[in-house]
Amino acid sequence: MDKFKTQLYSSQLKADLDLFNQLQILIDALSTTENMPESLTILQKILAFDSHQSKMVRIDNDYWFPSTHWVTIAFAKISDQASLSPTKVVLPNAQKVAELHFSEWPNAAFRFVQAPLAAGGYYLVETAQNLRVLYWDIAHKRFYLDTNQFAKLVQTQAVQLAGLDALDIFQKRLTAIASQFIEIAYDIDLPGIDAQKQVDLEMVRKDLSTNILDSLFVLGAKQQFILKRMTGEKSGAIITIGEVSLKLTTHHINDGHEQWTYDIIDDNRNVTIYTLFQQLPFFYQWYSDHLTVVGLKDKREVFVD
Amino acid sequence: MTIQDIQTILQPELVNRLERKISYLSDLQSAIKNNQISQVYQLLDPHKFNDNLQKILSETSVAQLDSLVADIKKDIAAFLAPELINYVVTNFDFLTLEPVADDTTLYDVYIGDWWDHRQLGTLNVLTVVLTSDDSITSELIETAKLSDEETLNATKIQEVKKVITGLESFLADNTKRSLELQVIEDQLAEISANKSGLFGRSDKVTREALEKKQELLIATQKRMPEVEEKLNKQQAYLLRFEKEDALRQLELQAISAYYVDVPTFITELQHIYVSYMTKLDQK
Repeated sequence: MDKFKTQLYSSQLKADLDLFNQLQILIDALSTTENMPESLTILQKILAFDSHQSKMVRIDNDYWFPSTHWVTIAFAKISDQASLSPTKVVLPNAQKVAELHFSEWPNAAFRFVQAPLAAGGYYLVETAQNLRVLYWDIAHKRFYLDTNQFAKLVQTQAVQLAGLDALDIFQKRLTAIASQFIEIAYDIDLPGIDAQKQVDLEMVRKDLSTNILDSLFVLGAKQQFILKRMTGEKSGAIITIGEVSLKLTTHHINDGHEQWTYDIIDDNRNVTIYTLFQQLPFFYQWYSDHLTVVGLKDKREVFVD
Repeated sequence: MTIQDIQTILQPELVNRLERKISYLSDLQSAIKNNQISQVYQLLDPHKFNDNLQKILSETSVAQLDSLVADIKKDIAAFLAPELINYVVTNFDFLTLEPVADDTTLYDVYIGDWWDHRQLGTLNVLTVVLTSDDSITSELIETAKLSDEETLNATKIQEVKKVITGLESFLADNTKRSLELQVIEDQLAEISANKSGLFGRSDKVTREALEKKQELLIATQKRMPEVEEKLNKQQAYLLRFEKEDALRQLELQAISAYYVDVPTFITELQHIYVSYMTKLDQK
C-alpha cells in the first residue's frame, strides 16, 4: 500500500488547474481580441490544447465543447468583421456544437465539422441539407470553396428565398475573409465567388464534347435563352441574359488540348456564376448533369465524402 | 476562190464578232469601274435579267458571254459579294452567311446565329440564286401546322424517355441487387457451415432455391455494362430529337417574326434576284 503524499497531490492538482487556467485565458483572449491574426493564433493554441495532459482534473459535462466549437467561434468573429451583415453564434438546446447564422440567410444554419483528412482542417457545412461550403485548414493556412456543393446550396429553398442580394452579401463576405487571409499568407481558392473576378473560371475537364454544348443549347432554348456560337478572336459559345453574357470560351493549350472556361461579362460587376446558377435553373441543371466535365475546377482533393 | 477571197468573205463576220466581244468586255469594265452593280448582273446574264425584269431580250448567248469571263468569274464574284451580302442580311436579318472556302462565288446560308444553326442553302453571288434545302423548308412548314405544345419529334421523344426511365430504374436497382446477393451468399455460407445435416432435405431444397436466385441475380448484374451502353445511346437519341425540335422552333420563330408563313418566306427567297435587281435599280 502506497503512502498518500498530500504535497504531490496538491502539486498535480495545481498543474492541472494551471493547464485549464491557460485554456480559460485563451478563451477569454479569443472573446476579446479584435485582431484577426491574433484570434487565429489563439484558436490554434485552443485547438492544440490537450485535456489529457491533465492527470487529475477532467471536465466532462455539457460545458465541454469539441474543437469545432472554437473554430465556429473564431470564424464567426472573422466573418462578422468581414461584413456589415452580422454573423451570430447559436447553441441549439442539448447540442455541443454551435451553429453559425449569417443574417443574410435567416433560414439557413451552418456548422463546422472536422475534415477526415490527415492534414486536418474543417468543413463549413449547411446543416439542413448537409451541404459543404468550404474547407478551412487553420494549421496549414488553406481556405477553399467547395464549388460543387456551394452551387447546390444556392439552389436550396432557404437560400433561394433570401434572394440575390443575400447571395451577393454572402459571396462578398467570403471574398472579404479571403482578402484578410491572403495578408497572412493563406492559400486561397474560391472559384467564381468574387464578382470582380468572373473570367477564366476553368472547367474540370478539357475538350468539351459537342454533345455537352448541344445539351446546353437544348435546355436554354426551352427557356428562350439562346446559345450562340462565339464570333471574333475567341471561340466558344455565348448566352446573353439581359445585360449579362455568359461565355464558354475555349483556350488552346500546349498539350494539344483545349481548356474551357466560364467568362461572365457584366459591366456592373454584380453577377457571379452562382448568381446565374440561382437565376437560371436550366443552367444549373446542365451544370449538375455534366458536373464531372463542366464543374468549376477547385481543390477537389480536400473535399472528401 | 483564192485565199484572199475566202478571207474577204469571212473577215466582216469575224471582225463583227470580235467587236461585240470587245464591246461586251468594255461595257463590263465600265460597269465595274462605275460601281453599276445592276449593269454587271445584266451583262453577266442578260437573258435572266431581261426575263425577270421584262426588259428587251438580247440575242447574245449566255454561254458565249460566260466563256468571256470564265477566268475572272471569281474576281467578279468577290467584287459583287459585299453589296449582295449586305442586301441579304439587311432584308433577311435572321439569316447568316458564310463564304464557302476556296469559292468566292458561293456563300452558305444559315438560319439564325445560334449554336449549330442549320444550313438553309447556298447563295450564288453571280446568279443571285439561293438554292435551299427542301427538307428543311418542308420540316418548317410541317412544324408551323402544329400547336404550340406539339413538335415533330414529340412522339419519338416520349418513347425514348420511357425507355430511359426503364433503363435508369434497372441501374438504380443495382444497389438493391448487390445487397440481396450479399444476403444470399451469407445464407449459403450458413447452410454450408451446417454440414452435420441437422436439417437434412430441407437444407438441400433451400440451397438450390438460393443458388437459383443467386444465378439469376449474377446474370442480371452482368447486364449492367450493356444497359449502361443502351442508356447512353438512348440519351444521345433524346438529345438529337430535342435539338432538332429546338432548332426548328427557333427557325420558325425567326421566320414568323418577319413573314406571315413559311411559304411566303420561301417565295421571297426564290425571288431574291428580282428584288435585289429592283433595289439596285432604285439606287
